Amino acid sequence: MPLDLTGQPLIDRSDFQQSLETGTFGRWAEQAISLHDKGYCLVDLGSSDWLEKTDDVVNALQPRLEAELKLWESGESGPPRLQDGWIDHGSIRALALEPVVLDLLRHLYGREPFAFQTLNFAVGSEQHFHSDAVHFHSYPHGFMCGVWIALQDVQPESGPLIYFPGSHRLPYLSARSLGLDREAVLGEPHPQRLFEPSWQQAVSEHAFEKQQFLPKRGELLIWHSNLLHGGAPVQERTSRRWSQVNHYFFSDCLYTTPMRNFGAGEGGTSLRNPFDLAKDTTRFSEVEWRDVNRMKKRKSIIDKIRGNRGDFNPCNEGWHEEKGSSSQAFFGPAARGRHRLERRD
Amino acid sequence: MGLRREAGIAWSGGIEHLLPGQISGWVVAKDMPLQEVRLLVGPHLIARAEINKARPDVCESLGWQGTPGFSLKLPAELPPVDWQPAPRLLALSADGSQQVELGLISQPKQTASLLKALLQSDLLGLEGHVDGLLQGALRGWAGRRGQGQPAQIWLQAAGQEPWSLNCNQWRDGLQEMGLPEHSGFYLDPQALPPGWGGIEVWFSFDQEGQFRLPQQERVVLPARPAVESGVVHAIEANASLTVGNNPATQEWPTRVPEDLGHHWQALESSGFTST
Repeated sequence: MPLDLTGQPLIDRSDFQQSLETGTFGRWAEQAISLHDKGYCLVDLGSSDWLEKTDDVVNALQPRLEAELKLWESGESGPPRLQDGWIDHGSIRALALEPVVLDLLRHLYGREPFAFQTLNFAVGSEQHFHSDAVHFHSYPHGFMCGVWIALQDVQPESGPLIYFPGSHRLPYLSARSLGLDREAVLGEPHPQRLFEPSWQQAVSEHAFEKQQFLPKRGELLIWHSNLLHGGAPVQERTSRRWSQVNHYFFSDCLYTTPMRNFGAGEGGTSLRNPFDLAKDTTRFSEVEWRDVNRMKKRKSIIDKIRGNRGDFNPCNEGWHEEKGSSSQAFFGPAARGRHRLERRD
Repeated sequence: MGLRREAGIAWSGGIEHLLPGQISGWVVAKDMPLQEVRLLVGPHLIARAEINKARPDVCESLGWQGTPGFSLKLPAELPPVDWQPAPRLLALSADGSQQVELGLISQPKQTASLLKALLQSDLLGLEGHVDGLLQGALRGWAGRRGQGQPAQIWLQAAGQEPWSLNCNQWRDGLQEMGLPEHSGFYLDPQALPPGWGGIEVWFSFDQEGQFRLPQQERVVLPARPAVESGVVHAIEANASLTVGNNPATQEWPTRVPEDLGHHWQALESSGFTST
């Protein structure tokens, strides 16, 4: 697959203003301006159909997360989250594949979007602010974004989403760019922590203003891959903040995990083969993926996946962002067979 | 400078500077305007730039009119690609129907190997500039967008072992360029061993000295007076110099020296206003 590393999302290009004036963004001009200028945009789909879809997700997840929520309320565990709930719940998948959102992303980025991961939260995540672009990114850069959907009205005490407008223009970071030691990264259960001092420093130096998102049910916020965002502390543990985050990549790219990208002597670039929710398969076929990985110990990786998945350590092979991350773990029929693709609703 | 003819195209030019963060040069072609340069590795397009920089020196020499210069920014990192096809820098006409492959003007036969070495190296994406010898010190900057660690550069001189230097000085104007603001460097020549006195020096991104930092003027260090042997030994014991924050960076001249005033990197990096 020939790559064009000079490609940029339309909202990031230097001729953005020209695109705006020529109507490239269609009905999404307001969102394009906001994403370009501030690194996020707001959308209110507003239809009763959409609101019903959001209710379906909450109704499906309430019983599933009940036990974990009790532990959270009693202080015995952290805030529960469900990654890739779309596997079991068609309602979650429906929100991720909402045609209006896909149309918006297509217009703003100029390439075909595809959802590759969902996260569902019943309460505030309390996650330190971060840029998604250290977790997931693309070659060429910028072809990734997040969509945060409010599944209920969000109250200030519930630990709202926080973000720093303008921070999307900070340089993209990776383990390599920060000079992080490979062993330190691979040995850290939450490698994001190693990046947090850099973000704190950047927020301080640039005096980015922290804002919080207090949406009504059904409203959504789209963030640029590099926008710093996180979860405010939860003030009241019995309060709920039902929400869904969809992560999207775009077509005609290679996909990577920058927090596991090291210099050439330490293993080089960590590529990933994301799962395309709409197509129910990995983005690259097995043959394509082999071609992509021609320079990266192709044989040993493929052999391990095919032959002895149990010994396959994704953290050592530079494939996966985190162990047990289901969307990255799909690869080929054998791997898919271990994950229940049949849905509960 | 004259035009050469290849594949029916009469043209002249090539790469003048091959730097970890940027490739620059010029190209002109008779009867066929060349619009952009593209850096390719096999089928993969790594970078592109328009040929639109003013080069009065080239135009004067060739009797040319137009803007034949180019400056191609290199990405700070690349995905793994197949390096079997050698990297190529092409200059293309507007419709892509005509193209010429550009080589290093100074070492045309080394172009492919140097490009490949650069694109595969950890130096990729580094930018920098040497201001020169200002107020008795060597000054400049080097860094990479998004970089957390200070860049390491090397002071070079004929007959001398390269001298490593960490670029970790605060410097106004770097943040606006997307670079860490602590990417400046400052080196007092008196901190160097006596052998460095009275010789021409330059800086490079690599220890081998293949990739030089751009500088406007030759820099010759002042001749050194005789030094007491005890002091010499103390200095030489410091094999690698890491300069700490130095208040001298706040004492730079308030005006850009005439020779630096024409250089955009000097202007932007020093925070001086062009008056």
